[in-house]
Amino acid sequence: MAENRTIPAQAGPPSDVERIKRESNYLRGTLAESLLDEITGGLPHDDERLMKFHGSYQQDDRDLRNERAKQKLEPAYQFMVRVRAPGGVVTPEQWLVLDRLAQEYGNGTLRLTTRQSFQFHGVLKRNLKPTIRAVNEVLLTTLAACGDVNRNVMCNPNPYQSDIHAEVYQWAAKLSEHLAPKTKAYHEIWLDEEKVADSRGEEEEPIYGPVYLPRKFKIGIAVPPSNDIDVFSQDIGFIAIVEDGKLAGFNVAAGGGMGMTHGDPTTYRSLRASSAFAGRSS
Amino acid sequence: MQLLVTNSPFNEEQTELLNRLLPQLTESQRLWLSGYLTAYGSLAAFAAAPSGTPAQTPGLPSAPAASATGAASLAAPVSAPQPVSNEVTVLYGSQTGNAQRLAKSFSEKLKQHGFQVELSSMSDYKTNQLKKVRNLFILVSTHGEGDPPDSAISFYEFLHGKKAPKLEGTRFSVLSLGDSSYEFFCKTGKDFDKRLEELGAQRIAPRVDCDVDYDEPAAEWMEQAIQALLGASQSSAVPAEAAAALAGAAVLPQVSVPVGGAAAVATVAAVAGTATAVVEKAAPAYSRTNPFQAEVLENLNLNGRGSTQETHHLELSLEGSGFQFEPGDCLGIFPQNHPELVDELIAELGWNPEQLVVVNKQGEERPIRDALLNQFEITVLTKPVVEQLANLSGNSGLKELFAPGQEHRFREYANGRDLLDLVRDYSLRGLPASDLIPLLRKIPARLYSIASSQLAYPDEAHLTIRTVRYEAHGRTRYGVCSSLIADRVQPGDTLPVYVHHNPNFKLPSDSGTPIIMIGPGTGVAPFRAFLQEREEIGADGKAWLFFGDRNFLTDFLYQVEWQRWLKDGVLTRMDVAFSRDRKEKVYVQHRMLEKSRELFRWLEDGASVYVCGDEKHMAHDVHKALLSIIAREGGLNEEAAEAYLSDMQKQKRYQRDVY
Repeated sequence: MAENRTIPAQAGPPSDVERIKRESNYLRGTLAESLLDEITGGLPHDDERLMKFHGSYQQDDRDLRNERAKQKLEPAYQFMVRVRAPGGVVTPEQWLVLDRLAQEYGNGTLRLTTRQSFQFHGVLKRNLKPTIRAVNEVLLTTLAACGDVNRNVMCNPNPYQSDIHAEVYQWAAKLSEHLAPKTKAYHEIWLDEEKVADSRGEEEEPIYGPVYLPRKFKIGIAVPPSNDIDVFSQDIGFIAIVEDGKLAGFNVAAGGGMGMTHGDPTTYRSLRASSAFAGRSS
Repeated sequence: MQLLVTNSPFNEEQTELLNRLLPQLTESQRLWLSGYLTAYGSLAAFAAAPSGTPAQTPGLPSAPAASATGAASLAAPVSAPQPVSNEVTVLYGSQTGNAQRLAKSFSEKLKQHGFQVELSSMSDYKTNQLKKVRNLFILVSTHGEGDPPDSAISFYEFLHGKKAPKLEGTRFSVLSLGDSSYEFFCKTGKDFDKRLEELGAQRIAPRVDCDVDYDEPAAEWMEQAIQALLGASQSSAVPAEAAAALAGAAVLPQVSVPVGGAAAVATVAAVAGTATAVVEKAAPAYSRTNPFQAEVLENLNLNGRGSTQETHHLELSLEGSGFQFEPGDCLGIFPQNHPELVDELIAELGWNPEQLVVVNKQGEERPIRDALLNQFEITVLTKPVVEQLANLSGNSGLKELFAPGQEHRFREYANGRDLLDLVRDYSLRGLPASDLIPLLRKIPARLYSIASSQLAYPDEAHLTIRTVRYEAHGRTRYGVCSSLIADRVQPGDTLPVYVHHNPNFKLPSDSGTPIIMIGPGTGVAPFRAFLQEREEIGADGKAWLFFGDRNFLTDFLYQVEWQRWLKDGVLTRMDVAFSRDRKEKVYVQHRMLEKSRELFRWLEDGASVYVCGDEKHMAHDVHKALLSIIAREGGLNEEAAEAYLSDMQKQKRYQRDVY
């Protein structure tokens, strides 16, 4: 039985990140200039936040922190770069490129994340562009691997397991594509595409708008009997319904989430709060 | 009052005699003597070839009435004043200020002896005056591989070129400064000496070539030069002056205000920048010859973990030293030799480390180990020393290195080798320490640009010292001072130091003047002082720094300080080049060329350009880049661009501290 429940808006002013997003001109900020600044290996605070949408987090080598401060050197800034691929599926050619980038620009390791993404660590600021460009050239992307957007869509990593699996993978890819940010910022900054004067600001981000989502959003598709992607922990979980050997539609589960703020009882992890059925036509 | 070699026209023996005799004289004996000498002097004047003699001796301290009148009345019959030979021109070519300082001191002495002195830097001297000069003294250092210092280049070229005048009526002498660890030791001085003779001038005192320890030989040269001058000009100034001196007139200290006030007419041509009154008037108790033991406050490695280099930031306390310095000045450190090397050397020579040896002219004795550790140079092979060792040892193989026409043989051998190598390669074991040690050169002080401003850190001096370590001829070698700092010095230890003023590397006196600083590696040290100073005085002039090194992550010396200054606006722009971060090597000159339009605009706005650091390649490449920028942005041909830069140099807007 469906139940209507209104969750009240959270009290208090918006987080500073909202201002940063709004002022960023669809995730541009001053990233282009900051990347060229050779006096520091890090990014200014606002650009650091925006970097997440582009698929990267700024970090620094913790072990060297105190030592370097005494030596009048800034922290040893370095970046984590995350590559998004629905279901974690990549071609052999793509894998080899990831392997090479991990060694050439990363710290020699390649991590597979719990959301089926690929992660480099230890990338220096001056190598972000070549890394991200190489990823895109092999038809992968880092865009929306992090940040307040829909993240990597999860599904069974083996599309060859059955026809259903292949079809489900296509749905994951479609969802991923549909919900990806449309901003040209990514291409301008990393792929050297020309900035196009666009007066119709609204068109730049038809789904997300200028401030994107309040937080990350996670989607996963499960093919029973396997729940390898932990469907009920996703914000939206799709469970494939098979009838007569064909994919009929999905049960939709919503409201899962792993996020919580430690010590804040108004935040908590949860499993799906509601469900519905979506047929193929919907 | 004591007569000294340095404040009178007498040599050591004479001052000794006079200082013994004079205090014994009674009043009447003194009076008799002064008259006697006056007569003696004027007789000599008539007897010798007549050259101009001044009737009066300007600028002498007033002597007690009796002897002065006596002298004056006897001096009266002597010929009328002919000022020409009383005029002396002293020209100096200085890179780091030593020759300049000596020239100033020399000109003071000349004035004390009653001469009219024109003192000038070679770069400021109007060459068309040269042919009129009757008495010419040149004090010049040699730089790099036998080159004249920057400020001497144009005069050097003039003298060696077609426009050089015949100088048959000119008397001269040359003092040259240098470092015998370089093959072309004192070459510039030698060149001037030879050329002046070629032009027909008359050498009145032999040229003296000074090694790094120049105080004594320079004083001797000044002594000889003055004596020769006095003898040549045959002036009655001698007796009158002697009378004044004998009558117990005040002995003038060496570093002081000009003698006698109004009477002394001396044209002091524009001297380089800012030899400050502070430096001149307050003669500190501590100096190069009496270094101050400075306590180490801080000693840390500036290069991040994983770097291929090691650069130490050293903070020294100068409290109690009385030292005063400005940004651009250097600190000299007298280092110790590495104890292991000393022990190895002693063992190789078969000496007893405790045995006493004489270590100086005064006859002081020290144990061998102590002497080699603290006083003598054992890491660089210099030609004069090795030649003497060759003679001492009688080793034919060693002597062969000095075969005439085979200069390259010594040079090739000496390159990268030290005394220990020599002892081993030429079996010098057994040579007595008492014979060998006196041949060694005193350990020279190492100079480092001071990386702090006294306004920001009143009782301290900070230094930026790169550790030199390398392999050569099968052994690990190291910079004596830099390795001492890197390995064996901690907070609480002391180092013997002194301040070396560098009048040719100074901030513009107008703090609104834009400055462009180019300082890769440790060359950035004085610019830290520049910016600290400008920050303290609230300067509003723009500042642009070019820095370079090997790797951004580990070698960006003082990174957070530049970042803060950029944020605060004390530093307007900064460009960096890290040569080993990418495949293509990029250096500061490339960054300069990339910003050529902006850089030229700063030059047109009156910016002063400072270059500090490696001489061999960087300074040369930066110079070329500047010319290139001036030519391109100013629309000038090569010659005009060089004139532009040369002009800037004359205006003190292009200054270099390169090594």
